[in-house]
Amino acid sequence: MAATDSSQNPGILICDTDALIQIFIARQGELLKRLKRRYGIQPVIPEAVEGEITRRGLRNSSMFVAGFKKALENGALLLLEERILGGFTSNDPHSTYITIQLMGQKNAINIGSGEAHAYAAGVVLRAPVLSNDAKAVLIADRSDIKRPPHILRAYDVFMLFHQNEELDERDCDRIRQALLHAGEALPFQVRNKSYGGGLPHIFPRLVDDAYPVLATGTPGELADLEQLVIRTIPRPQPQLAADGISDGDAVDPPQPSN
Amino acid sequence: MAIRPLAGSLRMLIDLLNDAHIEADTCASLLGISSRLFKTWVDGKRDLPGYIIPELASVLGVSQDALASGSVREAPAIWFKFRESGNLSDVDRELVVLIRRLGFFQHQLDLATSAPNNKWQLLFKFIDEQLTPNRQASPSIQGREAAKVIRDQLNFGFPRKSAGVKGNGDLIRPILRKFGVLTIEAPVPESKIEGCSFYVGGPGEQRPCLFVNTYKQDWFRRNHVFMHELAHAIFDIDREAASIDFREGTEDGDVKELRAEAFAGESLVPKEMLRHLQSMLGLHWDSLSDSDLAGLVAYSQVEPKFVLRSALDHGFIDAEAMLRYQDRSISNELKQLTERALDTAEFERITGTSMMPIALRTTTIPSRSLRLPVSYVARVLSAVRDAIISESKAAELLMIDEITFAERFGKVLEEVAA
Repeated sequence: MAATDSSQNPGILICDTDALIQIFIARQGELLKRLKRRYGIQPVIPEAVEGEITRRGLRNSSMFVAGFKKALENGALLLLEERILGGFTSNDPHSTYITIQLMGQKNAINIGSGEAHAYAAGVVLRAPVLSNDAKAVLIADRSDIKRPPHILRAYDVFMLFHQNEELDERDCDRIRQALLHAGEALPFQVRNKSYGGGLPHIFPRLVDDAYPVLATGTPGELADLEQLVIRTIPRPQPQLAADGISDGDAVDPPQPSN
Repeated sequence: MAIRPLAGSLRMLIDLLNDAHIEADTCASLLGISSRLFKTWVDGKRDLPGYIIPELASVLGVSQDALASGSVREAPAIWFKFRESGNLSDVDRELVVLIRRLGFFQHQLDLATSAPNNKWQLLFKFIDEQLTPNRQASPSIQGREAAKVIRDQLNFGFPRKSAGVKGNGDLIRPILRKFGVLTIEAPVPESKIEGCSFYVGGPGEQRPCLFVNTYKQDWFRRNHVFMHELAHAIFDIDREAASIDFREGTEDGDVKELRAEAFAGESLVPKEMLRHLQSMLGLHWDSLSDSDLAGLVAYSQVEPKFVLRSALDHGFIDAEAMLRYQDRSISNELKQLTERALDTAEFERITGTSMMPIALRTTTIPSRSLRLPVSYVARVLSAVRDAIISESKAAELLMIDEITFAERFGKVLEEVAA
């Protein structure tokens, strides 16, 4: 999908557990806010994802639970409850919520509860889903599970913010190191390569069409076939420019990793 | 299906837990849910989310619709039974939550791998019809009559020496599964529960689930307990929601227990079976040697005491002989006859196979760990290999997190894929 203008950007990004955990382990929760500010894309989570991330007995939970809670508190992430659905669909929020739950319960027979409900929300709301599990895509395809229009990885978010110059290659290398150190799985194309060394091998599923694409791999997985092209929301025109008053940048200046 | 709880009805959840004598924190930790999050549901601060309803309904033994609509007026009979029983400790109550959870997961695995059938309904109905003329009969007669139907329907036969040491005990689990009945065997050392039966699954897809605690119970005894629990599933759980048996035994003279015990005896060691074994093994009942006793156990596939009691009931031996025989130690003779009598280390050494280590089968998410049955773990892994379920689903079914799943099984799965 090519974005001709930012109004074609999706309004929401449905996030699954594994991808969010990577974002918080890499201490990049700020990127969720920037998706909203820069592209107008609000990251949301199904309730099942909240249940999974805060589940007791999870290893490494100290590395991501605090960041997760903070993101929920400051609105970087929204919980996809019935009461907020009206903002993302013109259909009746109650019946939309029920449809998502029922589809999620059916999906959850074959795939994890978080991704099952994330896929369901993605299908019903026609929204992209952030989910790392490549095998779930395969399983969805083989079983009777409908796939959302776009399935992105946490790595795609990092590559997007590298592409739009908010992160540099060193930031991304640090992110990669942090994930490896935590025992997190990376896309297989870049598993044994540095961040920069992996770029020619990985196909980016999320790109900003105003910047040159840095990752130049060819599509190799099912989910690679549906690239999501987005565009930065234009800066509001300063209305009182003559007086030298500006309402500031719509987009945060680039920052290194936290 | 309703998904949202009605306004103000979330009080129902706390009432349900109170009725069941389960603390909200304990319930949350057994389900692997954050206590904080669970409390927001219990306190009614947050709606009960749709994703948790199937599992919670199955664990608590209420219908999904009732839980979702907040129309559960009181806890199901199973929890009152637990509350009233002086035998039950907190551990037992927690075990029941975990076993019901495992039952829910096993049902989900069946849904993913093959549509579970409901042949059990036809079987149970058929037994009920056959018993109609005997409704006024004693519990023992009812149990025996039902067992005759079961033997016929499950194709239970008589062992033959030429076929090796095979018997009806080998058939119980696969045949019950074929009929859509769930069977779970797991060790729970802290619990006094020996076996229980209850329904799992939502409305329209309920199935009986039989659980046997394997702690300090050999395979022969477990066959007996399975058939005893099957009797409860046939006769009792429709009315009582669940049936529980304790290791120390239940009250003598209890109609339901008498019927279940008669059912187990007649289905596994009927008079004809004893006659057949007498002829096949050349037994002289008044002077059974240790190897004769071992032969009786190996081929009947039930524990010595049970086969001897059946021999007593059918007049093959008298009470004095029973006392004399039941104290004999026949473990060495039995091990010579059947590998079912071997412990894990002996089995691995003699057969050259290796069993899945306990550490790979132990849950980590619930606050009380459970050792999962080898066959269940193997089925989950097989479903991952066949790309029927995702690894995250597999971790959920095994009640561990994804990192632990990758550590435990990642290499095995990769090797197979390669």
